[in-house]
Amino acid sequence: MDKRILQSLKRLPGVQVIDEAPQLRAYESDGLSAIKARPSVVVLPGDLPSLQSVLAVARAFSVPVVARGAGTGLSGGATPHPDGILVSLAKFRRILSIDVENRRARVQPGVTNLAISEAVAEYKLFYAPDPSSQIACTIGGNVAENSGGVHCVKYGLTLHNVTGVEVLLMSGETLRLGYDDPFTHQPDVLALLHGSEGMLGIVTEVEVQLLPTPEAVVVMMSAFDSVSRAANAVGAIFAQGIIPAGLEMMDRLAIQAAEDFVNAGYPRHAEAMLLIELDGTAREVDELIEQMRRVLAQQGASGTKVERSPEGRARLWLGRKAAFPAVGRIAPDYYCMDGTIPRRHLAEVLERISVRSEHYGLQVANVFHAGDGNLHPLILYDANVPGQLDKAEAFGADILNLCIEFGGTITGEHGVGLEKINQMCVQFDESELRLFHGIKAAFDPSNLLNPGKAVPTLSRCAEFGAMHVHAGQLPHANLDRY
Amino acid sequence: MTDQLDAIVDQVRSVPTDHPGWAIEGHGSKSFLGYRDPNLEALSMKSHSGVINYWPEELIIRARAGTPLDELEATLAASRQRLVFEPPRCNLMGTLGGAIACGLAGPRAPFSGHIRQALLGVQMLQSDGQVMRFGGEVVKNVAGYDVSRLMIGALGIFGPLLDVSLRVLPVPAWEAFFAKVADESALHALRARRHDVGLSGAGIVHGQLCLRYEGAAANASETSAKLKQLGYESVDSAAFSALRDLTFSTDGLWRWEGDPETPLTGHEVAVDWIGRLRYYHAPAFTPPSGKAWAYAQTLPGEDRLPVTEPIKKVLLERLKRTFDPDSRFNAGRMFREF
Repeated sequence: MDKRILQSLKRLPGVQVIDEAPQLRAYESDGLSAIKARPSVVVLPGDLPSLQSVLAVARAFSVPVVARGAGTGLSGGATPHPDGILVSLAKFRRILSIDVENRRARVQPGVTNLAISEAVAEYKLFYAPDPSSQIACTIGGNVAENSGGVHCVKYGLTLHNVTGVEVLLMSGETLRLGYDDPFTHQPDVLALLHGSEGMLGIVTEVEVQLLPTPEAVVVMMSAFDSVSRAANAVGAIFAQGIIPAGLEMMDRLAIQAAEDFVNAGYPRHAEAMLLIELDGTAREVDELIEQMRRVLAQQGASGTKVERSPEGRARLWLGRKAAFPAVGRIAPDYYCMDGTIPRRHLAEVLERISVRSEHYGLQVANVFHAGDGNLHPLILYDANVPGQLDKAEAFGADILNLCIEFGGTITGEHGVGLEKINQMCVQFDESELRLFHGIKAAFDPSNLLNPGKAVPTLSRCAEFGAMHVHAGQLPHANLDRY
Repeated sequence: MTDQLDAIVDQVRSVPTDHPGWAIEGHGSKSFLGYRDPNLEALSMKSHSGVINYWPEELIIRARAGTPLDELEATLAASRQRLVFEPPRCNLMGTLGGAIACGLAGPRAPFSGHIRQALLGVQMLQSDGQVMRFGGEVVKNVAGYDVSRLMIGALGIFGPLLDVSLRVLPVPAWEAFFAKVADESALHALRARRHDVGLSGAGIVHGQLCLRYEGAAANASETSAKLKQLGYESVDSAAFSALRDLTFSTDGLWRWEGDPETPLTGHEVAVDWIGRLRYYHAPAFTPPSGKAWAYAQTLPGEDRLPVTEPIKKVLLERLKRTFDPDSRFNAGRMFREF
């Protein structure tokens, strides 16, 4: 990197600059550790004016800028640009205001997802989207990825729970969207910014809506003697008009791995199980439990358990939340996929995945957000066995192609980043990709903000990559992943 | 129920270079929104109609843009489902495409019932006849920019929608309506209870403060008893049809959105969203502080265009050029310049 850039950055007031190799290493990747790049420099601005001054330097020298929250993303959206400035928003971690009466909180982008719910818990409120990394991931990153979580089947994604966003454009101008003007009769640019993976602007403030903590919550668990029965039960639940707060599915391999790991009391010999959370007023939940028991029985469920106490519920959730590391114990490596399909195709797609599993000779554990049709197949392999990595990658590509074939998408909640950029060529045609590039150019004509992510160039479109975890060596290995 | 895709593509593609451009139309029921340049040729979408996919257990429906809202809602009602939002039926008409493009969501909007909560995907057309698809028939989908939701309230400036995929919801087991005489203090008291479990609409029509509650049958008796105590009477759904379809007035209206605590002026024709949205007759209108624009073609064109910050306008102009480089669709409808 041009020395003048470093000098310029170091002269900026209120900006911490990191350019020593050992410290830079911490920023080499986000949660997708398979893809690494050493940034030339990392800056930590302390406020909006200092962030603006960093962008001014970047513009002056035409250097790429990559914004980073906690670096927990799973698709390489925050992988540094080797010739660029990595902007950490770690110092933007203030909760600016909590408006209990209007159930809103205004926070800086570096505030963690869980910190919002913790800050408003005393008012019996919470922030609904709950990605598995919520203890560490930041709200700015959640907006950038339009993060989901276990409860979004009922409460929606990040974009359904954010009421206002302030973004800094690469030009240095700020744009405020939403807030007191929630339903403008103009194109919904606030929605467009969600899931834009740091390509259109840098989120500098977020206003979220808060929901009342439900009066009653229960968790139910049911065992099934076949994967397709469990998958069909998922459809039957919605057909009854029930919208659970969470609806998760695990197959035999995932159940056994979780049981061996944390002993959550799961049905070890079942082919599949559903974990269902219901919430509402106490009366409403009682009614829902009875409805749910009837549906589950009709669908051939057995051993249905209902847990009302916080401890009992936590125990049932424990196995689900420990499922990824549990699977990590039974194989040296796994690939985690993130496709979504229409729920009605769950049984067929899971069957097709199992056929491909035999074809490749690689096991698959399924543990996923069944209520949203959001699959997380974990392909087990051993990178030390020659050829297995290639097989796992080919298998992963097959699964994503299956998702597209069945009318779904290559990524439900992890984002495209660098990881699935090639698969974008399968899901979108040339005119659509060209339009995405046009949107990027409308916000960032000089193409300096997180260039090269999320949308493949038209000349690209070849191979495929996936989350690569070797022997549990992923960054933030202490975080639950589910 | 017909698929007119090929005919529409041909119509758009086979125009001479001096063609004046298209004014996209459905039923024309919301032509009072924005400015309609009389020089443009109408591009009618209303015959491109019908439900394409609907599996009730998915809670997702996909239909062509020209599908009448009544037909769409009847299809859902047959499976005891409904739209998440409440698009107006102006003059008792309206198409699905028009509902998305106009971005009007009805009384449930502030109670998680806005179009943003429901829209999952669109298929749309470019002026060279290219058909593009964004989003899809799944709720969780983060591949590519969220182009679908950008179309909400875009008044067609980015091009015509061909079909639309929506998340839908089961009809709640219980729905009830209550009313009492409206005044400033009653509205104020209501604002303090705006987070009541099940409240899904609150406004003033014909001098009555009208509330709608819905949800689990288990919550019905407690809510009814509480409202009775507060002096409300049980009524029918008429006020909420009026708030949704703007049938409370046949004259031109001003629509005002602003701070819900703003005192009533006494000239309100109707109030919705617990005070945040208000309607005034065109002649009597002096805007309180907030945003206002006209719902009447008799008013000057400038008044019918929304005001926007310069930076946002620049972005929208660039986006317009990306989607519609030759400005063939709805030119001038939202902004005079593009």
